[in-house]
Amino acid sequence: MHIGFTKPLLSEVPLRLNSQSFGKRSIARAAETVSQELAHNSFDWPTKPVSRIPSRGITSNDQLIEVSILAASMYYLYEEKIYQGLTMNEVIQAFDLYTNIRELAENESIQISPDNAYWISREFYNHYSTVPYCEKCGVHYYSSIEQKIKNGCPFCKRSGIGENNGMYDETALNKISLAKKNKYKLNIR
Amino acid sequence: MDNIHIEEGQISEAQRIAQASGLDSLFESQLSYWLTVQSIMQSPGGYDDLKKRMPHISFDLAEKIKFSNYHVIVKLCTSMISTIRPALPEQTIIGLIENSNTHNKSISTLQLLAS
Repeated sequence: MHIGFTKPLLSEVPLRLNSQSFGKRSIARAAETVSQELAHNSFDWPTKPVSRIPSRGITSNDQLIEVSILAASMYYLYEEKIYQGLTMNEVIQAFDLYTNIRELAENESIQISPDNAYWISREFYNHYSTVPYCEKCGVHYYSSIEQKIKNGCPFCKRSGIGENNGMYDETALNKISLAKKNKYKLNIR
Repeated sequence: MDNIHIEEGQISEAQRIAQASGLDSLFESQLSYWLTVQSIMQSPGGYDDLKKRMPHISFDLAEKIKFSNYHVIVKLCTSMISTIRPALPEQTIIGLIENSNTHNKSISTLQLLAS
């Protein structure tokens, strides 16, 4: 709540491992006990409620780089465990690293909100998104089925092996068109 | 479930997470690292002396550092995370020195996380 998670999110997700969600009334009561200024207000963080599939909002390369920094932070700390599901505390730890390291990146896109960070971690769990490695650039980047721009490394634009979305992958397109041609040939025989 | 209390410690922890915090001593150690590279390169022993002490640094990078001014060397240092040579590929450091690409900083950040 202090960091900037919205009340609806906090009320419905399990905050600790194997615990139950607190519910809206408990979170509202907890919020009433807070008298100091909230951290996210002090630093003017984005907190507005977001889509549960944040990758749909990725429409530019800068946004992809921003999400990649968060995804790479998660992967750096927890590696393949991100696909088995991160707890709320682990999301916060990754978010802590992300807030620190994004200053270094000097990326022009706006900071990702904590709610978005949580839903991105759920995307990994649901296998909508992955964190492939680009061998040319030596970076881990974010790759999702739902993103609205080319699915590949944000710097060299190459698609990795086993990408989620091969719609812009020339090899995949060639294979599809070849398959269609072969099918057509088979039909006219 | 109903008795959630927010403690003082949790509030200060949240403030810490919300704020990017650097470490001045880390910045200073990185700066001293690169200034040492520069000073060894400018000494009579030059690259031969450097190789004995910092074998990770190639001749090309050492030459770039040798002729870089203070502002460029400062750009290689950050108080957020270590960026000295073994942590970053040489091409990235040369890219940062030459400022050849707008995404150099982002690439270096992601490379640090992948290293």
